[in-house]
Amino acid sequence: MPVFRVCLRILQKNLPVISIYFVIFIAISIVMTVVMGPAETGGFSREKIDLAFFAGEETPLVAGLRKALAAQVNFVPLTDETEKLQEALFYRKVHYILRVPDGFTASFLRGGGPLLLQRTSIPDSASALYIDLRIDRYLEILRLYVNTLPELELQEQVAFALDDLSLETVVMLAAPEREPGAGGRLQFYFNFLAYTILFVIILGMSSVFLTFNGLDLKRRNLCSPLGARAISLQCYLACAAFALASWLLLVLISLLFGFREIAGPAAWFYILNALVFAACAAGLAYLIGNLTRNGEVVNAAANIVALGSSFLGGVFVPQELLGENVLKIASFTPTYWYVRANAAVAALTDFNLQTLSDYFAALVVQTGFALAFVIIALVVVKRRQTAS
Amino acid sequence: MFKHIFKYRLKILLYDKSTMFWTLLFPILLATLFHMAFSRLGAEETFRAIDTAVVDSGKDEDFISLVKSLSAGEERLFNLHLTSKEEALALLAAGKVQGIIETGEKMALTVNRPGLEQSILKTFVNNYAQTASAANRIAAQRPEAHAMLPALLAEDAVFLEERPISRAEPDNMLILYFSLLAMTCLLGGYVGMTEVNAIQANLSGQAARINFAPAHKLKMFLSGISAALVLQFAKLLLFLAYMVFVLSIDFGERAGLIAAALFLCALLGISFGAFVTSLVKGGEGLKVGILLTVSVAGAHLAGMSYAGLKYMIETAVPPLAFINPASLITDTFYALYYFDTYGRFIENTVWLAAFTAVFAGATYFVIRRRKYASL
Amino acid sequence: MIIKAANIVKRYGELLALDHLNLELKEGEILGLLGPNGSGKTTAINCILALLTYEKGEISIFGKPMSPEAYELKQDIGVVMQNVAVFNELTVLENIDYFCGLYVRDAQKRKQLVREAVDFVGLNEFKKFYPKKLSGGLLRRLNIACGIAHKPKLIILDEPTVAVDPQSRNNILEGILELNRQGASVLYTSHYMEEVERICSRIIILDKGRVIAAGTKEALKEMITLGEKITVEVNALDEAQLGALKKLPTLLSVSLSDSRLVIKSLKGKNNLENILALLKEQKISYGKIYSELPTLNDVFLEITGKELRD
Repeated sequence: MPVFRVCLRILQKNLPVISIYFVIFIAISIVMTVVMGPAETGGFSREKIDLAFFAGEETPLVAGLRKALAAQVNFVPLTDETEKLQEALFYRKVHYILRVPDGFTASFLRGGGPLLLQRTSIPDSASALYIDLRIDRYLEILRLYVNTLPELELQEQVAFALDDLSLETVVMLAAPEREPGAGGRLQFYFNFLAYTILFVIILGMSSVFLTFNGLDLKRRNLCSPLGARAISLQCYLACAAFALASWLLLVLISLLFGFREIAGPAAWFYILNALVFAACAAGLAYLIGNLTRNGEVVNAAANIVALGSSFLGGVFVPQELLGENVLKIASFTPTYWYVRANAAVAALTDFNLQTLSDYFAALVVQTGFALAFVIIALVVVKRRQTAS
Repeated sequence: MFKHIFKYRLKILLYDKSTMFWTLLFPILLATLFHMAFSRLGAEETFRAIDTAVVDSGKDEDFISLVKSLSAGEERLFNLHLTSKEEALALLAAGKVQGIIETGEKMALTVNRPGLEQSILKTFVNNYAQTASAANRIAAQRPEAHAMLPALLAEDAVFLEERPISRAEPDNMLILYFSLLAMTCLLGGYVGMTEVNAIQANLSGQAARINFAPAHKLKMFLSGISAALVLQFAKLLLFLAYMVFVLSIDFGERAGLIAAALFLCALLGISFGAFVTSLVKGGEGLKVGILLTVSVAGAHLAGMSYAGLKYMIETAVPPLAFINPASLITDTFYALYYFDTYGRFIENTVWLAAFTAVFAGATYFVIRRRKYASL
Repeated sequence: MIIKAANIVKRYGELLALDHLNLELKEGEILGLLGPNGSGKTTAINCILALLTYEKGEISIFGKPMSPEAYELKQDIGVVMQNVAVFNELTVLENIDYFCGLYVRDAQKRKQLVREAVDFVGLNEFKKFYPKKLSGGLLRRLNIACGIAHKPKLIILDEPTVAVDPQSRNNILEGILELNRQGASVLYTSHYMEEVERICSRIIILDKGRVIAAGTKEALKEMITLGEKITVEVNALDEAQLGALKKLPTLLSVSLSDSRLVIKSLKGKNNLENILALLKEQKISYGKIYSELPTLNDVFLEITGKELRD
């Protein structure tokens, strides 16, 4: 298989560049997975958030507010100067600044008035939202007591409210053997893998096609006794080998994060999904490599396709947070279906053909994409050949 | 001579398609994509009803009627499955529901995994339990007061108000766009690369030709770099204008200082590209690869795909944040946007200048050589 | 003396690229630097132009030492390189103007020079074209125009005709002769001996970085023993006939292959006549018969034992 061997040589020649991409993207995915993975998903054992508390008055109500928050926040002492506070928020030393104005208690007891608690927080931060909810709960329940049992001391009303607030529903995990924190980590890593796979495979494989589609080389190949189909086939085999190797490497690295989960069935479904996706990326690379003879264009395409479909398909931003229209557009990319398949697996504890139907449907769609890319590429190749 | 070279370098750069793509078209494309993907982020309309199973023990009719009322209509909170415990567990295992709520003396919530929807379920159940506890206590103490409760609960009391302590909100979303701008500045390295290629005789034939000419090499290089800088600055302003006026992204009010910072960043990007081109031994593909990867990966680490990452890296791996020029650029624009004072901004610009000086200095030591061991 | 290079030694790592090269270009001449690919022609030029470092030797141009900062020397040098080096983003006219502008600051004067250069290489119709639209031959002409627009006194051309069609090649060679007539001294490198023979007044033959011969083409041909090469189309020859041929008085060598009898003779009179007489005597019937004078290839072959063109 001479063509196959030459293809591998070309890949080898391009290895310095390809390995730069590999190293950097793997590094990013590791950083992201380690830093973000658990924090994104830890809905129940939420870490305490850093909060600066400034009280303009000390009343039983304020003392109660401190107690109500104690379970969820770390009180960070800060100097009450605008610049210091700005800086603290800027560097995320605190995520939340809460200020009780003087006279708030009296205003509250009168039935709510012009004086409100003042908050400064980082918008769109989930942790800040939970603090908001907690404060609202405390004051809402306290308000019930103030209105219905006015004869009681404020101190007693606060004690009742705190007692009610201490009621926390026990949340049970249906499959306790699954590590709750790490569960999202593997999924996160595999989602991010879509970006790396698309990028590296398009760039790596296209280098082969670009060389082979160089006009004179192509002519020479076409004149050889091998036949165009045999050349294409061997070329494609080499690329498939490259895609397979990339996939294997990335999967092996997933063991770093997932060694606790890898024993579970979910990991195998992630890995299978990644393989199908790699085939998709290979098809796409084949198409791009055949559409252009320009290395710059390939580079551009790899960046746009990888970044674009990752953003829209839910690799960086969870699909739940994306708008309907965006998702509709995204569903025309294999990335969207890849992420969906991962999500379908993540939702399961019981794996059987029925529960996995969503997952397999997503795999089928991806396979369709892979085939479509290759078929379009073949049509393009055919056209070119007959045209020139 | 300066004018002559300046004029022609400007035209060459302007007509260079790949440079134009990476330094202008690519960022605009990405910004548009960002805008599409993120504009809905946090918007209410994206909320989707949560698939929930409720196991009715028959002990809490209030709760059942409450969830039923919340499960009807277009803007419902739940897609409700009222079932037996076994069936609910089966639904959960198959991923058809996000959680199971069991009513009774003590309510219980069972979920498959942590997540956003699961958290909402938990908050909902907690709220109900806490309110119920208060209502029971009130009923026990003063039965007649119980009648006041529905009205009180229906009132939408507000206790909190947002008090910005700065001219601008500390907005995570902006980090994404700022880091995209940082990436664009660094991709300006492409222009720096073109300029070095045009003056180093071992990199291109055109450069060899320039080396035969009776003019000082560094002077010619500076003319070329000036053209590159002017063009790059113009492109960055254009990109900024696109984000501000077309995508309506708020970059703050300090237009003059933003432009000044952008000029510095243009210089940093160009010198970064010149640095990579003159120091890295290898083909053009390798150089482009390094340039692109550092820019794109740096921007990711500076928060381009997830804003929180920037802060996590700053606290967890400070050296990584420090050597990442994308992070510095992002921080500069953010400081300008956010702080009332200029301390942080000035500190950042000093670092920007220092980075530029290092890149330019290293480039100078390679460029000043006029004879080569081989071509 | 326009160029004087003395004892230049240049190494690329282990490889000795120039081995004590000596080269002189006198005013008004066209000096040909002839040698096979890899013989060190381009390296020699790049050393002369102070683009490459070299281990040993001295180079002076117009009588002054050459260095990267020798601007007053560079002002009068024009270089046309082997590879086309123009900007794809600039038109034909702009390219010439750009490179000319590195030498000539006066815009008015430059305009005139650029116009003359365009005329000279015959690109008038293509002034507004971008290089990508030009054919290979036209591109070569543009490449030349970029190097000579500023009317240099010394023109160095490094294989300007590689991969050029015969028509364009002719144009280029005529152009070089014209430049020379206008007063430029020319250093011309090529591995095409016909070109060198045609235009060069003096020739230096280079092999493995060494000068193996130098002089006018006539002098070079005088250097070798071969005087004449006579080819005879014959049928078969027997041993006796061949033996008789080998006894020819001025014979250098005789070989027979594919019914072609090649007889190489020393310089001398009546070579052809002697052979014809011998053929008749031996009753060898023959078809065509022709005689050639030695070429530079023969010179190269005799000195190095290998063909100039591989």
